[in-house]
Amino acid sequence: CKNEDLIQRGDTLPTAYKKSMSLFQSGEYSDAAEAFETVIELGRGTDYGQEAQFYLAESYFNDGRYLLASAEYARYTTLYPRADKREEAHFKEAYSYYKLSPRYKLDQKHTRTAIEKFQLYNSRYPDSERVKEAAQYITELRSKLAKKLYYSANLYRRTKSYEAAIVYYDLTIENYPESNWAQRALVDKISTYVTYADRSVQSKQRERYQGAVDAYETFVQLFPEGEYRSEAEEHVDDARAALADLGEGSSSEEEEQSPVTSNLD
Amino acid sequence: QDITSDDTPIQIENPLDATPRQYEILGIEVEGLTTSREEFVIGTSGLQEGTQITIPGEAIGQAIRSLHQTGLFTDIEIVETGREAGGIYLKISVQERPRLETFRIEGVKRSERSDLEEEITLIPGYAVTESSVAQAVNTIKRYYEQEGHWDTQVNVSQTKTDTVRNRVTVIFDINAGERLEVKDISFGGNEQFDDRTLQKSLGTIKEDKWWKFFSKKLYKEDEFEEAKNNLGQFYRDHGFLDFRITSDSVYTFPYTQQRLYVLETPARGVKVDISVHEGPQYKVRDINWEGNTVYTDEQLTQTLGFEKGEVFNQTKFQRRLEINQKGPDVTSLYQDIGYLFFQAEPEIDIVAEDSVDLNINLVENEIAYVEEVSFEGNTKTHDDVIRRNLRTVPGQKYSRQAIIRTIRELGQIGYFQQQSIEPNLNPDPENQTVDINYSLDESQSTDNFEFSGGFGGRGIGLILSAKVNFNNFSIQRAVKGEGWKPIPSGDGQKLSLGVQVTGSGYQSYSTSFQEPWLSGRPLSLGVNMSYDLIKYRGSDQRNELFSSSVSLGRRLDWPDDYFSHQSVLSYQLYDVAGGASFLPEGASNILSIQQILERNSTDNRISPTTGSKLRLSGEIAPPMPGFAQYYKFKSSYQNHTTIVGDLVLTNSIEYGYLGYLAQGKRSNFQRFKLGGTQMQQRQSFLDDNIDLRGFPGGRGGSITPFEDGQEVGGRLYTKYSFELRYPAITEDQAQVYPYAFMDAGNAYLNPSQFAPFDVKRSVGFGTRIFLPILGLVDLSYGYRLDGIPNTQVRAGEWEFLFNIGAPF
Repeated sequence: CKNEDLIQRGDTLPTAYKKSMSLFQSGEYSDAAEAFETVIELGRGTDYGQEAQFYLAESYFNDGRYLLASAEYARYTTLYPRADKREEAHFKEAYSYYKLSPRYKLDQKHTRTAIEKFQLYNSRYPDSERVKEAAQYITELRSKLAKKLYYSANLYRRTKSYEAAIVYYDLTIENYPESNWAQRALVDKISTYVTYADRSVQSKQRERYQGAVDAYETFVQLFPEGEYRSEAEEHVDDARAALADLGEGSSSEEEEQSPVTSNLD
Repeated sequence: QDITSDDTPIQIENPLDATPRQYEILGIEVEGLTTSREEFVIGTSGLQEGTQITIPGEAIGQAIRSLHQTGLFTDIEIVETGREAGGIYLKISVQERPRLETFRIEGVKRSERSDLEEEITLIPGYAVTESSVAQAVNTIKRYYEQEGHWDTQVNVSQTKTDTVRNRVTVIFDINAGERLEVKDISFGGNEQFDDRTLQKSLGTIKEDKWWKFFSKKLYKEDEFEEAKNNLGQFYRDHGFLDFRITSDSVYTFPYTQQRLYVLETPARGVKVDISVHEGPQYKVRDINWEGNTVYTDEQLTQTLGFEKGEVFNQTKFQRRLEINQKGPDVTSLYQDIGYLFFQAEPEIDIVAEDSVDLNINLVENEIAYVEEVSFEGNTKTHDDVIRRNLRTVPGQKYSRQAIIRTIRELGQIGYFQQQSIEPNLNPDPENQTVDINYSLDESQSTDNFEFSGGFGGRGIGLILSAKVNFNNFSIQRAVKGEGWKPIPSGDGQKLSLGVQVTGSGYQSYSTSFQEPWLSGRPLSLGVNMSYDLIKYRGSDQRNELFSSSVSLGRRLDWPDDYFSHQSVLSYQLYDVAGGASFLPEGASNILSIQQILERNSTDNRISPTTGSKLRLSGEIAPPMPGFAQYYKFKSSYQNHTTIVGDLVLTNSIEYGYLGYLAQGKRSNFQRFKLGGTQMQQRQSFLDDNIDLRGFPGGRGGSITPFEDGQEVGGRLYTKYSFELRYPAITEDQAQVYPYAFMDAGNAYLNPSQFAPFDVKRSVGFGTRIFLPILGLVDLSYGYRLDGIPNTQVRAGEWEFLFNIGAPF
């Protein structure tokens, strides 16, 4: 950009602010950010300083430097707790972290921060129009965290660490019961128990097939209309058939279990 | 006398007693501003006109606090200037603080000035307060203290440099004063150890001596504290449990400095006096265990490693009880089999004059199981790549050994800074579970670019070689077209591309790809392709090789989990023109299958300190129409042992055998030749080159049998090697390992001539240097004890060799 567009020595505060805004409006966000920094330094304690702080954050945001943007939005809301754009800044701070949230296979530190910030936004501004939008982002981000746990479980299952897989399917279900991954995890938990039992020594088999049956019951309770129900039923049928084969010499506990399950069918 | 006799009543109205009333602010003014705007002050205070406030109440206090927090004002006052029905008029009066224009440092060297300018946190445009200035002065004094200046004077002055904007310049005038060194450390009350021994035990603080001219012996307070701790530790480690320091003092004193044994000048130095009380030296009498059900008293006592009558060493006691990096300890005995909540409460009871009984009360608790295993900090590498390397698995018993192994193995992948891998345990005693989180640091780059030039020896000339290694590639993301900034990464795949050319007509192009976990299962896939061409100067000889291979490997659980197995299918097309008469003219095809079994328990790729590597391989190129045939066995074993301190001894032994299944179409390619390094040997790609230090390798320089004056290569070979290695530098940025070696080896024409101890020997020294960007470079200088007959390579000569890549 041209030299006269940049802030010069001796420019007054209003001129400096105007130049920064025009850089911002023409999309030169990196230069605009630098210019707003100058305005903030010159105009601390003035309205120009306050506005510049907000647009500094916006410049970083539009430039895709979300980590810097989130820090500047946060500074704006702490320095000017009474400002009009405070709500906007709180939302954009959370949204910056949303933008920073990487694919599920990587560290999800920013995802967790984004969820926290959106939750804070919703409790601060319950009447805002964007509450719904924020809630949607929370759902999306939580689903990503659930997916991460679910895929960890799958790795354990592929490497035949069945107990570890079951621990991780459980973590998925416990922590994110509302997500679709919980349902998926529960179905896979049933089939993992079946595979695990198939490959176990006989003395352990009953307990592990029973694990599959118990998981199926949880499934029916949590997701009676679940889209994976038929799949879950196929697996549990295998488990029940195997339990029936093991049947002779069964404990009285086993007797009590079967009427309950047949009622559910 | 009686102070209450004055009967003038003192009227103090407690503002808390006044009834709070609501007022509307009808008007507000601000007094005392020079540069800030009234709106800003009112806005910050929150006391806008029309606002309802309660007096007495929170609002006024909050307003003063908010204004204070800006750091711009002092003497903030809010007073009432008038009152109407339900309304109030307020005035805020403030004193604006001057703001910083800039600060200057005077009276010191330029380098110190720039150091200080970085450390001082005064920011232009911010208010200058007493505390911000005092903080800066402290920073300055601390800085000089670190440099040994005991009496730094800082003179602070402020000048108004901009009256309109109320700006000041702060000037720090510094007089650092004399720099003093520790000249004398003396002890009092020590009977069992002399001053010299005790001085050594201090560790951090050292006395200056005329021969110690390399380092300044400065006194630093924190180092002195550490030194006193070290001294106490030293005594306690020798059984002096009652030891204490009775007094210590540090002061400056005048002394006479001697120069050149003749000149004497007066000087000042720092003197340190330490008086101690030693007390008796305690010895172990009895060791008693309480509460142990898992291990017997004998097992525990043996692990603790104290004999009756042994001097009681407190450090050893703690180490053997809690954690011992090099050997067994009691806590690990328990923690390796799941007893995370295990606790040992030692009681050291003094009995008789100089004996102690060690009574150790054990609370074994329940076995803990691993629940969630997570990690953080992987900003590039995908979850699965890390998780598959974790030895701590959910649902298993907790094991400290598993954590130690995980940290070591995560470090070995090479993506994370080894020193910063840290396990965080989150135990849940109620449910007897533990969550483990590993924190990782992935800020360094894993890709490297090797570029090297070197002299390849006779007949080869200058070598130029370039290779790029992408060590954390992701082909899935590459195909999807994402992450190309600059290279798609995260799946732990390795991709490398290399080119090598030499002055005398050698060219080589190679590419390889490796996926350590094929479709998410512990099965590795490798694909390699290369093309080599060499034309010899001044002859019509021309060799070409196109080679490609696919390999599948898998980690085994049996006999133990250090084993792995690999199968390689490879195809080679040789084209030889004008070469040696024992090689067939024209094109030859070879198709072979190789099986490799390996057990590798070494702990480091660059310089293992412990562990061994055994490798057995068998390769067969079956006789098929149009294809040449042979079979080959190779075996190697290397062992690494730490001898003393960090000194490591590596010894290795290798054998190879090349045989034929039938008479027809024998392949004479890939016979054994010894000498040189892997890098320069790529040019003699028709042979199977075994590197050997001290021998040049290549044409005319390799150890090989001769037939009709031609270097035909051996059908058998042996190689033995000893290496004594010391880690001189082991930083993340650079690692240097100097070593001394003794190598020996030979190649034999056929089985009837095999004599495993008829070998060519060399001794020498060298160094391995690892720089993350360059990879591993090996320089060796070897002295030949034996020469190679029929060649220029004679005994009693030195040979310098240069290599790139890991030897282990």
